[in-house]
Amino acid sequence: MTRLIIPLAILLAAALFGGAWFWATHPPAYAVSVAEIIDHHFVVAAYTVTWTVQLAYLTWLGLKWRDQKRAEQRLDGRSR
Amino acid sequence: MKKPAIGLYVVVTLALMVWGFYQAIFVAPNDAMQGEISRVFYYHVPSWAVAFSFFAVSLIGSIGYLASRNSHHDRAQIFDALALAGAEVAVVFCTVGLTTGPIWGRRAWGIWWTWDPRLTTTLVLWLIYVSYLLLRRFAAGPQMQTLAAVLGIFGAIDVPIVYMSTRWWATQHPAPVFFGASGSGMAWPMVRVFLWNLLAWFAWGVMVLAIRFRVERHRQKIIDREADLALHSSGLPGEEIIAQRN
Repeated sequence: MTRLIIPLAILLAAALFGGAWFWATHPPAYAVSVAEIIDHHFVVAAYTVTWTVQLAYLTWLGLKWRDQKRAEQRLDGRSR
Repeated sequence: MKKPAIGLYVVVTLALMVWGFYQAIFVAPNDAMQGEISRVFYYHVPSWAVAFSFFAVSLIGSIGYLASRNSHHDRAQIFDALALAGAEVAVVFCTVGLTTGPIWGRRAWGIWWTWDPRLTTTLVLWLIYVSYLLLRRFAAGPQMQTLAAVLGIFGAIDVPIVYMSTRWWATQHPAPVFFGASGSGMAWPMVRVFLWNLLAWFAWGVMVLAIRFRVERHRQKIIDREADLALHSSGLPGEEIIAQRN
């Protein structure tokens, strides 16, 4: 499970930014003026920032957990 | 029993996040004055609600640590892990609030930032808890946890000041939407979407808090084991080892 953390994080980042790009370039049908399209871009930016911060923190926690598992294995080796 | 329950919680949380996003983007009506930019509200406000709740968790952990540090070592360590987990996850949500707010402000006010009481006290709150995390990261020695607990308690004093700032002072920040003056509030279709997102972000926050708490407890146990191994390999008799540990 701990081996999957980095590939999973890369996959999530790609999905996040790919999704954000698609969403930003497809404004809702009612957005016809320049101001409405800019509004749409700001909403996409706010949601993307939120998910970037949350997923980056979760990935950092995953990496920390992986390091601790390795430290625990080293301790097991020393105590034998 | 424990693992399926955790798995179920994660699945429900992810489903709530997807449902909340769908509601915020595709179901909620546009605000009559602000248009689409008002949808930032559905992520911005729940982030603050979760951050404030977890600062309270950190406060409880800090008080618990100070109360039990001399009498119950294990209980004190649990409280300390709770204080750290609460503060760290709250800072993450606080960071989200402090970035989504200016993104909304740039479109609604035409500026990214202003030094009004709400924004300033919020930035101070964030800085206090970042310093708390830096203290925990870089300080060492037996007093570190105690100093961090005291800083955590002082930091929590800023939370009610941030909450009340829009009531006490004239601010550029919008007046309170909920529990505000007469005439405040939102239309029910918007409140419903807000409540879904509030629930989703609380579920997400509790999940992340639980992970962070577990990581910290695991770290504490590794440190205890390392200390035990170092003492046992020193070749000292048991009574001397205990004397050195204390």
